[in-house]
Amino acid sequence: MLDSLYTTLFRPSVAPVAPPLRVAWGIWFLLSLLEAMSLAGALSLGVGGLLAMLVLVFVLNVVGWFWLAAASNLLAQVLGGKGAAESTLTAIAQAYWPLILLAPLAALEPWLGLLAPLLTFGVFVWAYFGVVRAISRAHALSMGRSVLVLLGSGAAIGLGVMALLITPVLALLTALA
Amino acid sequence: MRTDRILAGLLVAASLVAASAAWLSSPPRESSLNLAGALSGDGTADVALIDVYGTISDSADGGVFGGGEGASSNRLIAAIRDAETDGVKAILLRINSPGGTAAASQAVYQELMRVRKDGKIKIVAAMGDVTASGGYYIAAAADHVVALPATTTGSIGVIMHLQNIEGLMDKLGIDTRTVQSGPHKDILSPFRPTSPDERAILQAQVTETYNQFLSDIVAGRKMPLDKLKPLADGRIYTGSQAQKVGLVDSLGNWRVALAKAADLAGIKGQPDVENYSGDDFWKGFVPRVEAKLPGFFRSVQSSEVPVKVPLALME
Repeated sequence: MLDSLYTTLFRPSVAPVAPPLRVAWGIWFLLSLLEAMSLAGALSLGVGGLLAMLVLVFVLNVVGWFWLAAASNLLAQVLGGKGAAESTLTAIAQAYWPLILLAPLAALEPWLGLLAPLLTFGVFVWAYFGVVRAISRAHALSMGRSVLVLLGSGAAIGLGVMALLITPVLALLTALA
Repeated sequence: MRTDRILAGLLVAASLVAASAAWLSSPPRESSLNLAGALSGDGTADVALIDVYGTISDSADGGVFGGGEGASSNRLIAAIRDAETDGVKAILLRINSPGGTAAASQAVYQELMRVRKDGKIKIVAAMGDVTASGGYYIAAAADHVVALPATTTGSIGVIMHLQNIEGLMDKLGIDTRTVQSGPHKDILSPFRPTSPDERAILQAQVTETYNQFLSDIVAGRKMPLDKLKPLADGRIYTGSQAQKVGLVDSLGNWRVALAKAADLAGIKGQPDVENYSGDDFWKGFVPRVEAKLPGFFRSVQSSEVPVKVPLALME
């Protein structure tokens, strides 16, 4: 896991295309823990709140991870990709390693001033560039096609979320009418 | 272990420490919900909350890691100035102090009286477990004093402890010699009895300080000296007793005091409260960690407000 972190951040050219699945789970657990602690701090939650937040964040992250990987794998294959679903899954998890920097950035925010939001934005750009690169390597696609895969996957997820929200609303409105 | 793994491990550790600090150092949820409105941190609060916890002394203002335990008069004065600069309408003093040194208590009193005389800010004191001696000195500067019925207050007076360990030193076979520039330079020496002359000098100092204390209470409480003097023989009072004799205005907890502060300052609705006591890193950090992890810093916290401290102004 430490190797995966080091190579992803500092030597991306030698990072494994797709790390083992247990490493991918470890990445999401660690990122979820950091995110949960930051949110618990922002919301002034106690130990119980932190644990609840950890479960919630971990579940949401994993759902999002599976969703993005599934959509990316499907679109990549449509566009001629040759990677397997599992390698897409683990490659995407590894691409999110830069998000580990968000916690130290948040801690340094009082000293960074206006630089903090810029750096935070930069970390997200880095992470999503990593996702594009991960799709490209896992499916042997060009970077251009990989960008299309990511955008298409994002659109598919967005539409899916909207559908999930709209369907019950429509059902409710129909019942009320 | 390989360097790259060490680097990656350090990064993970730094991230965990940063996230943990973000969680542990956030204000307790209770405060933000119950402090009547938002707990502002942007200098736009209506009421400044200033805690006077522990023994009052002229200790260092501290740096990032604070200036030790107890209530530093320098920190309190800085907090009052900050609140004034931010344009708050009221100051709520939460006092849980057995007293402290005369000069430090007087310094805080004078700062509060200056603000009070200016007339723009109303001051309310809320007494906790103990607000005695120097603690009462500070409370006397408030426009309104609220105590709990069981608060220990009073102890208006000045005390100076002297020891003579000459006999003990003799038993131990230690011979102490002093070289001094004048006859009274070793006036507080514990190695010999105090002479009548020295006793008179010390008594004059105690009496002078006591008179300053009394006149400040008279000014702060608007209580005639002849009414105050019989109450100020050093005895302690419960909050209820203190209210009956006029040393306290009303009974209630600090939230009642907050409502009174809002009322006196003419604040409509729920006042925004900002805690101005938090400039000391550990003072703020330890209670916040305690709120998240009860018992974690129990020993540290319990030592901040000692239960048994002599009710003394001068030590």
